Formats: sequence, C-alpha cells, structure tokens
Amino acid sequence: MFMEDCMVKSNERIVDGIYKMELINEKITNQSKAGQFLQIKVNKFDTPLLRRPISINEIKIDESTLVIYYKVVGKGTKIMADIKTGEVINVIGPLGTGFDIDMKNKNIAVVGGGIGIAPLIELCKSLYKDNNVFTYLGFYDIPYLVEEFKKYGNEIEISTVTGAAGKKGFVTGGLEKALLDNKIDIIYACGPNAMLKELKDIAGSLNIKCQLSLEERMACGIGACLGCSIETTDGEMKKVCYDGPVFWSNEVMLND
Amino acid sequence: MTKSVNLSVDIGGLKINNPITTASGTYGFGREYENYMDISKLGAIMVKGLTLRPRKGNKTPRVVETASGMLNSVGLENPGVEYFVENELPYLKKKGVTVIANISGNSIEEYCEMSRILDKTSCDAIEMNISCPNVKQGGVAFGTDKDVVLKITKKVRKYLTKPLIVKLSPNVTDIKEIAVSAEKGGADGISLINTLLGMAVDIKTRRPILRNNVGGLSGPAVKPVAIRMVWQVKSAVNIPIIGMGGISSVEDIIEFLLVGASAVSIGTANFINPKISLELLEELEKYLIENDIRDVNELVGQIKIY
Ligand SMILES: Cc1cc2nc3c(=O)[nH]c(=O)nc-3n(C[C@H](O)[C@H](O)[C@H](O)COP(=O)(O)OP(=O)(O)OC[C@H]3O[C@@H](n4cnc5c(N)ncnc54)[C@H](O)[C@@H]3O)c2cc1C
Ligand SMILES: Cc1cc2nc3c(=O)[nH]c(=O)nc-3n(C[C@H](O)[C@H](O)[C@H](O)COP(=O)(O)O)c2cc1C
Ligand code: FES
Repeated sequence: MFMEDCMVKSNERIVDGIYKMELINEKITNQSKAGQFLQIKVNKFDTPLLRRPISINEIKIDESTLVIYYKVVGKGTKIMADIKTGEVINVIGPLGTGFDIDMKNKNIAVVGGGIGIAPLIELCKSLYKDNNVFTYLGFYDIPYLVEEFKKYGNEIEISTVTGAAGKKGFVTGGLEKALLDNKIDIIYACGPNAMLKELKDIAGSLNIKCQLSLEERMACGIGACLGCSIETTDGEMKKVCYDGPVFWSNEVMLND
Repeated sequence: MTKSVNLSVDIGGLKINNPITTASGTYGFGREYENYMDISKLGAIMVKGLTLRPRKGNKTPRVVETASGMLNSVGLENPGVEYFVENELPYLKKKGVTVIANISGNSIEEYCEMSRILDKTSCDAIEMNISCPNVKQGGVAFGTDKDVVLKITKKVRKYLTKPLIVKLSPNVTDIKEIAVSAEKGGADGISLINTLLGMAVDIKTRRPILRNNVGGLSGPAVKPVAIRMVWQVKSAVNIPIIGMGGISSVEDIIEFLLVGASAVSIGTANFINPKISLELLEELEKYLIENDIRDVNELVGQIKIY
C-alpha cells in the first residue's frame, strides 16, 4: 500500500447523488485487486479531518487508472463531488484483503445493494472468464452501472424498491430460488447491513459459501487505530480495514 | 557548511534521539506504519494501551469524526501484556525502536503486576495511563483524584527501575494538583493530554453515534486545551513533560515546547498522514537551523507570559 497524490482524470454525476471518479496513479493501480478500497483525503484542510474509505470499482492497468463510484451522503462526499478534472487528491491504497477470486468453473452469484454494487464490477471482471456469473442488483430507484455489469456476466437481474425498473422490492426477495435454480457454488455480496444479514442467513440455510464485504466507520484504514475492529464468530477480534473488508459469512455476526 | 543541531532530550532518565514520539493507541505496535516510514527514526513509540489480560474492547461504531477532531471508544482492545512482551516488543527492539509501554488497569494491583512484568523486559520506559475507571472505587477514573494518583504512583514506582511516565487525564478540574501528586509519588515524567470525554448524536435515529454512547475527543480541536494544561503543569512540577493533543504541524510542536514540553507525541494526525511524524521531525530540524537554535532544549518553557 502507498500514500500517493492522484490526478483526477474525470469526475461526473451518473444519476442523482451518485458520482463516478477516475484517478490516475500507477503504483496504487498496479497493486490493486477486486474488493480492496482506498482512503481518500478529500481536501488539504483539517475539515473534514479524516480520510474517507471508498471501494475500488474498476482497475484499468493499461491506463494506470482506478475508477470509484460514490454516493453523496455528507460533508466529505459533497466535497468530492465538486472536485474538478486535473485536480490532485491524496490517496492511501490499496487497502484491505479483497475478495477471494481464485475460482474456476463455478456458478457464482454476485449480489449488490445500493452503492454497494461499486466494488462488484472489478469482481465480476476477475471472475467472468473462468466461471458462470449471475448478477443480482438492488437499487432504491434508478439503476446505474448496469451496462458495465452486462459486459462481465451471464445473467443479470435488477430489483428496485420503488419499482422504477426490474422487479419491485429488495434484491434478496426470491433470491433463494434463483440460487438453487442456477446451482450456485459461491455468493459474493456488498451492500447495506440488512441485506448482508439476510444473505448470511440464506447462505447458511442453503449451505452455500458466501463472501461479504462489510462497512465500519474508520479512522486510519491501515490497522492502527482499532476503530473498525469486530468480533468474529469464534471470538477473535478482526479489523475490517485490514483483515477485511471482505469476510466469509460464517465468520461474522453482523449485529446492528 | 551544514549546521548541526541537538535534538536529543532526556525524559527523566529516558534519553531519546529526538523529541518526536507517537501517542499510545494511535500507532498500534509500530508495525502498522512500516509501509510508510522508518519507525526506528522516531524518538520513541508509545505502544497501544496494554492491560494485564487481553481485552476485546467495545462494540462498533467506535470512532466518529467531529469538528476538527474525532471521538473514539475503542475500549482498550489489546492482546494483553504477556503477548506484547513475547510477540511485539522483541520485534520493535530488533528494529532499534525506543519503546514506551503504555499500561492501563482496573485496580492498583493490576498496574503493579504489569509494571513488575515489564520491568524485566527490554522496553525502555513505562507510561501509566490513569484515565481508566477504578473498578474497586465505583469506576471513577484513577486520574481524577489527587490522593489516588499519589497512592498509585508510589506503589507502581516500587516495581520499576525503568523510567515511569504518568499520563494525565484532562477530565479534571485542577490538572496541577494531579501532576504534583504524580511527581510526589515518584514519577520521572508526565505526559498529557489524554482524550477529553465527549459525545455525538445522530439526530435521525436520536441515538449516540458511538455504540459506547461516549468517547474520547482527540485531534486539532483539543490542542488549545492541551497547550493550556501543559503550561499549567510546567509551572507546578520539575519533572519533564511529554506534550500531546492535536499536533499536526511543526508550529504546533514549537507551541508545546514553548509552554514547557520537553518532547511531544503525535496522535490522531498519524491516521490522516501515516508518515507525518517523520515529516515533522525533518521540519523541526529545519526550523531550528533556520532560527539559529542549536539545541531543541533551548525552546522548552520559553514562553513569555503576560
Ligand atoms: C471499506 C469501505 C468501502 C466503501 N466503499 C464505498 C464506495 O465505493 N462508495 C461509496 O459511496 N461509499 C463507500 N463507503 C461508504 C463511505 O465511506 C461513506 O459513505 C463516506 O465515508 C461518507 O463520508 P461523508 O463525509 O460524505 O459523510 P459523513 O456522514 O459526513 O461522514 C462522517 C464520518 O462518518 C464516516 N461514515 C459515514 N458513513 C459511513 C459508512 N457508510 N461507512 C463507513 N464510514 C462512514 C465517514 O467516513 C466520516 O468519518 C465505503 C465504506 C467502507 C468502510
Ligand atoms: C483511537 C485512539 C486510541 C487511543 N488509545 C489510547 C490508549 O490505549 N492509551 C492511552 O494512554 N491513550 C490513548 N489514546 C490517547 C492518545 O494517546 C492521545 O493522548 C490523544 O489522542 C491526544 O493526542 P492527539 O490529539 O494528537 O490524538 C488514544 C487516542 C485515540 C485517538
Ligand atoms: S480503521 Fe483504524 S484499524 Fe481499521
């Protein structure tokens, strides 16, 4: 992992409140893999003080470019949305362990909810050539990134809470049947805690291996502050920023 | 012609190469920062707060950002003093790091037992964190009662041949009387400040953001409080002071030295820039050269009070 200045190659609004940013940096890009994240200093000042953790959406080695997708929710992401092409921001990365992508000839379910779909693009990209990838995406209203997902998978199913597109309801609705029909060997997921909890239960009851990407509030992101430390099912303490953010579903408790 | 300046300082018998240390709980066991800097160049590392037995700490959320600062309620998660002695300390010593072991206890006996264990090891000094709740006395922090501070320092002192630094809690009415008790009890140095008790609320859920409800405030927001307290303590005791609280620039360090700190500790700033401690060391050296100050000790306590 490195602490580097990155040049902002582009920063654009995709749908309401969702932005895509491209960052140029060779060192960080070359080391990155699916499921890892960046700690971004959104400006050069004391406010906001801490870096913001944002997942790597796509790795473009040839262009030394990392793509991120972010949702504007507060002070830090609001400042990010105003960053102009050509500006430089400081980034620490790649952080965390990422997804276990050492898979061949498997039926894979990739499940994403809300902005949690962001890291799943690079995941699908790493898996689709050697495996069958079935993608299940849940949005609140207007879907995004769907065209990208189409490039890297066999089948894609969309659900929206408002019914604006695809199936109306949550992504987990009717998922059990789909997992069985497609003879899924392993599930990968990222999204809101409630969704991850449900997936943990589904994976447990169907006895399917499942990797979940978790979120915790972080200060350092490098394993030093213990701000993100959670207790695993076997009573060990693990750092979401360092040992995760990706964990096996039977490793974590997901309390709210 | 390169001018040379003296950066070494003496904290009550603990001689360190330069006055820049890293604050307990913000620097892990040092290893976490090795990707970013050469940790052996620091004056010293104050390692993560140790307890007699391993501790799991509090539930998350444990950290939340506040205006120019942050609250934490990590709750002293650590692998216990024995694990530290066997698995972390040898590594740090091999790297040539000056190690200050930070200890926390729930009773005077626990502090004494940890001191006894650590005194036999290769760690260089002990920093006693007295911001912890005293379980036997209703959970009130040891560090808030001057008589308790005197008693605990005296007792712990008996188990130590290594330098003893007492780390003060700022959550008190009169920091001077606490510092005087620590000195009377036999402390070789004083470090301050620990975090200020605070709270933040999520107005949507009407719940505290921290799962522990309250937490310790650190970062630039606390610096004026820390500067004031170091200044007050300097006027009350004769033992050296390690100043900390919100340091993020060389100017901050000079401020601490002027009000009486002999060394400083970098805390929360490490989270934002993991190599800031060494950057500040370089800047401090440059500042001294540019201002024709041959010895960093010349700055200590040089504030001109009105
Ligand atoms: C490993 C990881 C990967 C992430 N990847 C993405 C991503 O790809 N795209 C995206 O839009 N968001 C992602 N998030 C969530 C993102 O970090 C927060 O939305 C963001 O930090 C909010 O910052 P803010 O200043 O706008 O909000 P504020 O609410 O003003 O932030 C205040 C503080 O709370 C923290 N915080 C607030 N919400 C969250 C949250 N959900 N998770 C962790 N910390 C939070 C902030 O970091 C900051 O320290 C990720 C979080 C983690 C832990
Ligand atoms: C996440 C975190 C954990 C901390 N843990 C400890 C600890 O275990 N023992 C201790 O004496 N102080 C602990 N502290 C206090 C710091 O060592 C320091 O006194 C305080 O943060 C003020 O300095 P700063 O503003 O530069 O961070 C902790 C601080 C933070 C932010
Ligand atoms: S965020 Fe600091 S240890 Fe994970």
